[in-house]
Amino acid sequence: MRIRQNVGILLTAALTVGLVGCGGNGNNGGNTSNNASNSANSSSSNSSSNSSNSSNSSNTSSNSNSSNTSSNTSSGEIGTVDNLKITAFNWGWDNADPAKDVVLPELTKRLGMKNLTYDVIKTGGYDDVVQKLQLWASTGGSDWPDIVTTGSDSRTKLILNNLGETGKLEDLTPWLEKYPNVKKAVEKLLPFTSDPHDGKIYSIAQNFSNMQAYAIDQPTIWIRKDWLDKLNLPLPKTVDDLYNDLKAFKEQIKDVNGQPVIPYAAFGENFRNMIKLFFPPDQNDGTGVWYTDADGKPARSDVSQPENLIRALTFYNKLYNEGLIEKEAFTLKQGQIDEKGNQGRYGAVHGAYWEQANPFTDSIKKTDPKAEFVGVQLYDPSIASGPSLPKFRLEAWSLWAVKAGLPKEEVNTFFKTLDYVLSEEGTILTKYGLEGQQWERNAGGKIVDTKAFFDETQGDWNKRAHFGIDVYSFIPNYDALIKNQAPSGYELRQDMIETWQNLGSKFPTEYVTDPQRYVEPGDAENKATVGQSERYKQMVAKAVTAKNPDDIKKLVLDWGKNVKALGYDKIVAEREESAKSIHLENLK
Amino acid sequence: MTTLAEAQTSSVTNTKPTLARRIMRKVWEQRWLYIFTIPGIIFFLLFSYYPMVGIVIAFQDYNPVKGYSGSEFVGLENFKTIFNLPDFTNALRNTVIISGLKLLIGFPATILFALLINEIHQTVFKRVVQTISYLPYFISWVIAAGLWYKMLSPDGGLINEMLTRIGILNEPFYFMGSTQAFLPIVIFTELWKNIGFNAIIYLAALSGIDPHLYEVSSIDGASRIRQIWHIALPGIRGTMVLLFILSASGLMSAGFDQLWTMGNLQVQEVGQILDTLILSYLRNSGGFMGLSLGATMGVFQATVGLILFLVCNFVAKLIKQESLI
Amino acid sequence: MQRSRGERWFNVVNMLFMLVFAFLCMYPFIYILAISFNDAMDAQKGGIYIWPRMFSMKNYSVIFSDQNIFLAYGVTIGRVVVGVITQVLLVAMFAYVLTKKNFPLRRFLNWWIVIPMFLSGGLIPFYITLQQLHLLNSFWTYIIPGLYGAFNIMLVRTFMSELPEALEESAKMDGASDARIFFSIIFPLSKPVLATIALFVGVSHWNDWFTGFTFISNTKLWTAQNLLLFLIQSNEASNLAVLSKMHQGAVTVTAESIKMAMLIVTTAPILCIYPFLQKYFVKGIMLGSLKG
Repeated sequence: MRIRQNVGILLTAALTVGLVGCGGNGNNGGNTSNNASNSANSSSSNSSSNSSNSSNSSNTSSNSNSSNTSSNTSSGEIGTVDNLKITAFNWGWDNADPAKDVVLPELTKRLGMKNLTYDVIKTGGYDDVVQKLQLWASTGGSDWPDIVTTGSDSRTKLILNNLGETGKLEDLTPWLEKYPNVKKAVEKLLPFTSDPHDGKIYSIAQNFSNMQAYAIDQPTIWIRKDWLDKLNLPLPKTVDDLYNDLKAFKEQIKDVNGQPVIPYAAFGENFRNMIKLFFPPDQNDGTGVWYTDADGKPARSDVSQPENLIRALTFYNKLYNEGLIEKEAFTLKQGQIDEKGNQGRYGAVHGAYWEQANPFTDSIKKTDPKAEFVGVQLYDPSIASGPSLPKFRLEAWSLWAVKAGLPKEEVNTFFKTLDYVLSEEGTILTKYGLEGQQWERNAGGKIVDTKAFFDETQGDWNKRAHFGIDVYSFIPNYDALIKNQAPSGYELRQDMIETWQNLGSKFPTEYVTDPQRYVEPGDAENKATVGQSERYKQMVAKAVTAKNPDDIKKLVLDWGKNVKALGYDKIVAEREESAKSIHLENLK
Repeated sequence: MTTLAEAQTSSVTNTKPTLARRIMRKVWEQRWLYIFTIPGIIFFLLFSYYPMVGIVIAFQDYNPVKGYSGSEFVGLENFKTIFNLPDFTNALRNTVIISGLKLLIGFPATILFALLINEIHQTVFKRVVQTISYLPYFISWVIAAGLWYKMLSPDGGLINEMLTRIGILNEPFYFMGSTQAFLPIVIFTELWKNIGFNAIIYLAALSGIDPHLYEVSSIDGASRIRQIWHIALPGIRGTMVLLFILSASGLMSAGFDQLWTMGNLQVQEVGQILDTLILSYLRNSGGFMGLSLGATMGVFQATVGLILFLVCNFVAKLIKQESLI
Repeated sequence: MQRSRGERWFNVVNMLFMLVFAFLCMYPFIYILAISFNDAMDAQKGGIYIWPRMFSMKNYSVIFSDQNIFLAYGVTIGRVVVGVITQVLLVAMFAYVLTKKNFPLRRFLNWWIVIPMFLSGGLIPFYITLQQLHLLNSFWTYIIPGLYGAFNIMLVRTFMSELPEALEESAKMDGASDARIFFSIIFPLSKPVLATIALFVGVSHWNDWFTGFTFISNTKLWTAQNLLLFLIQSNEASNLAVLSKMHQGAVTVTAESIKMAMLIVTTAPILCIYPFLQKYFVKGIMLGSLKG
């Protein structure tokens, strides 16, 4: 049980990062202007992540008494029902408060229904959702609700596909044909969500990443620009620049209490580092990332490029042994990193999430007004001639699935609902509420909170959810959101503007098109890679803290040998095979 | 009673009815004992034995959608997988060392602690200390580990500050990054967290001792130490044997929560135990293999536990005529 | 009464040791209290050891702003009371039987409870069992699968078997039935150990969040632990969003500060109960009074 709990924390963390990334940028329709301090706004950016989550695992279980089919059942046309009950999982967000909810009644009305009920099953964390799905599946699907949206981790996908293959889930292909708007919204993701064995579609994306709505999530490192200015140093461009800057920090900078600073906080609980810079772009280090090599074979950089890994670890080893890196790099808890960061003791950080440096800046500013962390993208001159904009990997964060054998009218009503929510009108209703009540248009024609609504909710998206804001957006329409959103306070922050300048752009401009980045691990891989990432981390920790840098080479080469002995070649063969079923034509 | 009467009347021979009668009478005499235990028998049957079919998962390539009947049997394949895990031997050794040390140190320490508390005669002080000593039990390991990491940090941690200030250390010591310091820290924090709560069992047992025994021995002029040795310890012997046997049979679980939260990359060679190893393996394994491997691990731990239980039980019987079964 | 010098030293050293130990056990709570009453954003800077630096009740007001919390506390208290009473009674009865050397099923029963201490079928079969027994999504989900605890049975049995046999025998001579002996002699005499298991059972009911999250979908039946853990989840989640998108107007608590306040809110009540049970652990009162 404890084991599960911890997995849960991890999964939840991983998932929320993704979702926040999505929601935040998908929908920055905040409300500027009406507050003196520009920072207290940008409400809806987060509320969108709220919705993505609260509706993340939804299921419509239509009431048994709901089959009073309305009107047009004639001539082969499938009718709709007046009553539909949609149930959803929620692992950490507030629900709509029926007394305050303005969205659901309006949605019901616009859909011409009598009753649309949205019943939320709360669970502890994302892991509890996965577990519940697993338990439901193990009772032969008898507990399984009529229409479910689940997470999209590989285990959940496996459950869905297994249920589908045993005839317990509806093949959604015909419904997508009937509702082209829904199809258009999820089409790009179908290659990763349809069943690899029979090619049928047992699940479609509910919430997913979008290139235009997804700010780049990897500025390599955040550095104290005010310190660099003080020392007359430019922003670093290469890893060697960084080394010199850190050295200068160590020798010449004292913190507000006159104590020497810690030049660079790397690793920590979240293992943030820039080892991947020492590899060609999109051939990141680590045990989970596969790419297609020059011969068209699947490869993993920790095994296929030992020389680069050795260079990376030697670099970090040098930093560690010269005291430029946090001494407790491999034992620090995130809370301790936060404390030191908020006190202004670090010169460069990664942080747990990529914006971590912003709150550090705000906190340090109270005692040191010039303080500012700015994100920069570095490169390793021995492998690249300049920084590269990361490519975008498309993924579904949550999935819909429909139980087999439901009355056609109910499924039809459900798809009709999805289709409406996907329209611009439906998107605005579910993401922002009612015009004049919750939102109005600013001078630029963008949607902002009304003053009354902002005063009441203070941009807190849990409070906004009580009004039904961003709870019922079953599938996001990113185009509509981008078209209507006002810039958030976050986007107007000086340090963020500078950071995006350093990076060259705010959004990625290209998709990752290497099929290996989309292949789901198969049986051989699951077996051969158990515990691998943990062992990899231990190897890195050993190498970085090694007293003698010569040990690093042996560590890396032994690592490669071990991985091969555990069945690396089997995974290569398996992945080569699975890549054949991944079709990325849509992304090019 | 009607059954007895029927048994009597329907008797044909002389011997058989008397036997049946004797049994029936015996049962009737002990009817309350049966009534007291029947709910328990049913309870364990329903909630423990019936779900034990799930053990087959350990021998299957289990898929929850297909269920036990539909999943493929793989024999001992899962056990082979577990025993072949790259760090299995290391984790097994650590598990035995850590839980062995916890048993060797923690077991007598808890008894000693209970005896010491029992020897405090100022009632208010005794009650306050006892109440406080069980406080840490309520802090989850996640929070407790965070606190200890903070206090032991070489960068401004309370303990390093103190030790350097009074001159025991010249420079801060990196406790959590040291493989030598890790085991003592684990044992100490375990004691700190649980000793007060665990001592309650002994305190209860101690309070079951007849106070006359103390009075009599006081009159005889026995010292406190003698009283402890001759009255208190024998008085809680049964409880001691019970707890020893049970903790000894838990040798394969060394404290998952604690090691998961206190462990870190730099001390894994001494801090990785079977439970944490399995979890770290499952965390990044896809598919349903985790379900089977988890069950396999459970069967392994249960088997070792049962064997240890039987051995300890047998030894206890041999030495002291005390046993659990 | 004459006390030797050695004994006085023993007393002093013992009390000193206890004082140091008590401080060690106390300190984390002082720290947690300080953080929970401190402004959350300020607390992130560290440096708080004993007193709050910027006093704030916000963490607590966030916890109690949820109307459902009172209902959840009701459920928690309900399950603790029902759970403790039923288990103590059932366990005591079961354990009593196990002390009867002439009871033919004794050996069988011992094995019957020992095996489940080691072997279990795992979560999935357990869930299926509950589903078949219609024990999902009801208040009884908290109670019925936890009616017995094998460890508690053994603990009580051990205690009971150390009670003087003479008491029971004399009652037997008077013609008392087993039930009568149990209820009027054994049960009252076992108060120390029954108080112990009452504490154990109560604490585990109080702290359990797993049952609610796994077997109960109806949040009206959630316990306080479920609700508060959910609150932490939501703050962890919102914190990410908040930190990343700079909702400064909205940020008043952090998951960390809520965690600390929640720890106080969830432990304080159970700590208050302890002193009431404590009197049963004070040396020998029952036996003395009964015999005297």
